[in-house]
Amino acid sequence: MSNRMGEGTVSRAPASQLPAAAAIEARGLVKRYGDVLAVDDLSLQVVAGHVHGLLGPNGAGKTTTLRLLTGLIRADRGEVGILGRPLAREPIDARRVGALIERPAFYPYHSATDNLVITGVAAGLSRDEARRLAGEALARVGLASVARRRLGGFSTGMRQRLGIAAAILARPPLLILDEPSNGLDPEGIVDVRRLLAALAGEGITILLSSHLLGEVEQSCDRLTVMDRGTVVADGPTVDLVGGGGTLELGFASAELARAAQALLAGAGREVRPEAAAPTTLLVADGADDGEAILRLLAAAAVFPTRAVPLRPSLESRFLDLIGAGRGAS
Amino acid sequence: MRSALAAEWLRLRRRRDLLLLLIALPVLVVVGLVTSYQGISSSFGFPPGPTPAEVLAAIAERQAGYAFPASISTAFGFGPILALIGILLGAFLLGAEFGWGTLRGALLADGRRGHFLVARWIALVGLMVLLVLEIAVCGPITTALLGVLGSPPPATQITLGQALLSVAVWLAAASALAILGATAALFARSAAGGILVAFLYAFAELLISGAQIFQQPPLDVVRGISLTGSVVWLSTASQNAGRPEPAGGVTPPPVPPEVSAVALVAWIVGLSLLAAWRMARLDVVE
Repeated sequence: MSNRMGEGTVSRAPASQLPAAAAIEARGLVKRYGDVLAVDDLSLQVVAGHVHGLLGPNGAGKTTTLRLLTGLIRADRGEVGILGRPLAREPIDARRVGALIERPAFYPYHSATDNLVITGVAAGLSRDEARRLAGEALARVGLASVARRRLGGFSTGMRQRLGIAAAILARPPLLILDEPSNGLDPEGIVDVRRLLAALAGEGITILLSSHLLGEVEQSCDRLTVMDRGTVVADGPTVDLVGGGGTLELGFASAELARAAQALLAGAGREVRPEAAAPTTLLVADGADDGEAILRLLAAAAVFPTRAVPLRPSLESRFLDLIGAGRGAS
Repeated sequence: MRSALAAEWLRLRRRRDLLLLLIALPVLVVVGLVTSYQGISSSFGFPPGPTPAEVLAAIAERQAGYAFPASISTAFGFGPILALIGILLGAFLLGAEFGWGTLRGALLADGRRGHFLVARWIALVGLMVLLVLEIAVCGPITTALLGVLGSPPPATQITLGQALLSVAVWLAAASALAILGATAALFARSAAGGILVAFLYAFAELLISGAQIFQQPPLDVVRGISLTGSVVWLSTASQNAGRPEPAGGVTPPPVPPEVSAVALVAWIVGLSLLAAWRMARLDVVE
């Protein structure tokens, strides 16, 4: 494929279509499938202009939530507002919301272009405009060279790219993407990440569901972590990922005892020696307060040979959050 | 609504199965009509020697059914095939959207479900109009072809209005059965499931209305107003319109054809409302 995702340009949505402060506002959503409570009193706010990640283990209710937000399924309770308008009264269309939910599905007897034209025309674009935008969208996802090929011969990765093309086709101000990197090879995943960054740079609001923690961590500035149909954590990515962590301090052997004494007296945190390195002390939850701890040590005339904040990875935070949620329940 | 209709046209225009059906059906009907015309004489078994006058009259009467405009209603002797196609087409057109998962894409492109359903209904009825008109045109084509083959049928006394009655009846009947198939697919969430449900329903209705209790008043009315009963009764009545002797095989229910016609329209409206109700509440998870 000659073209790469993220290349080319997509104009900003017209001012009249720009989202209000909350691009998505969901309150008290409940969805039950028979005996299974798929979504339980879920509230979610996606702020306009942000890339918001929806994270959770399999069966957490992410896809059900996205289906509820796009009107594919009806909530048993609760309400959804999309771009400032209630979903129940005003269903979405591809010009307002571009969505890729689960595996992309297209008409197998039509070409890639024709499938996108159908999407565009259904959303209210003229056929000429839909064809023009289809060409741009296909170029953007790296499918320009197969635009006229029927879908029958498309690989999973090509279908996934086409699904993303359908979502961005009508240049909506809001994108809802469910596992956009599914079925893509590593190169494709990087391409998607690059495309998301480009779209975010254009001011498009993105709600991204993914189980690829790295993708979410790198692409999203806000996160909602779900488990068993409920929200277990919600907030800026830096707060969820960057908060906490241990401060690792190395000392000369002669100063170790004085350092430990100073830290125990003034830091107000748990201090323990590193089992593998006897001249190293670990200050629990000290990663964010490294400067204050160093000042405290300086006041006691103890100077560490090294100070390293050990941040938890999103993976470990994610497992902590899920574990805490399950422990509480 | 215009955008929904435009998208519907784009969705269907390159379906090869539909194109094949639209090409193959009239060919099969014309071949079937010519063959059955040429077999009329041999279908009368009579002893060797001079053919009795009453047999010759009966043959002439049967052959007159292939003259224009009677050939139009004779062509609808293939109506049961049309009924079958109606159910299959209705179930396939809607059920395939579940199978391919494209209903999801259609509703993400435009979430107004009513627009999608109305566009699909219009497409379905439009296809039925095409198929019915094709079969209707097969009548005059057969008349002309028989003339070319050197065995033109004798003149008929049936008027064009009487012949066109068959067209109207089969248009309503085929549309009703297509909508039955589509509604069944909407409930079954698949083409195969829809076909099964629609056929089971039709067979159950035929079986019930064939029971002894529905042959006697007052329950015999059911035969004239049930979906399959009204189709059978109306098609028979339209076939017999203007003919000196009615075709056999169907015991008329105690309702006039007009009542069955109203019943058929009510079935179309009722099934459409049922489909709209289903569509509005459908959780699209495919």
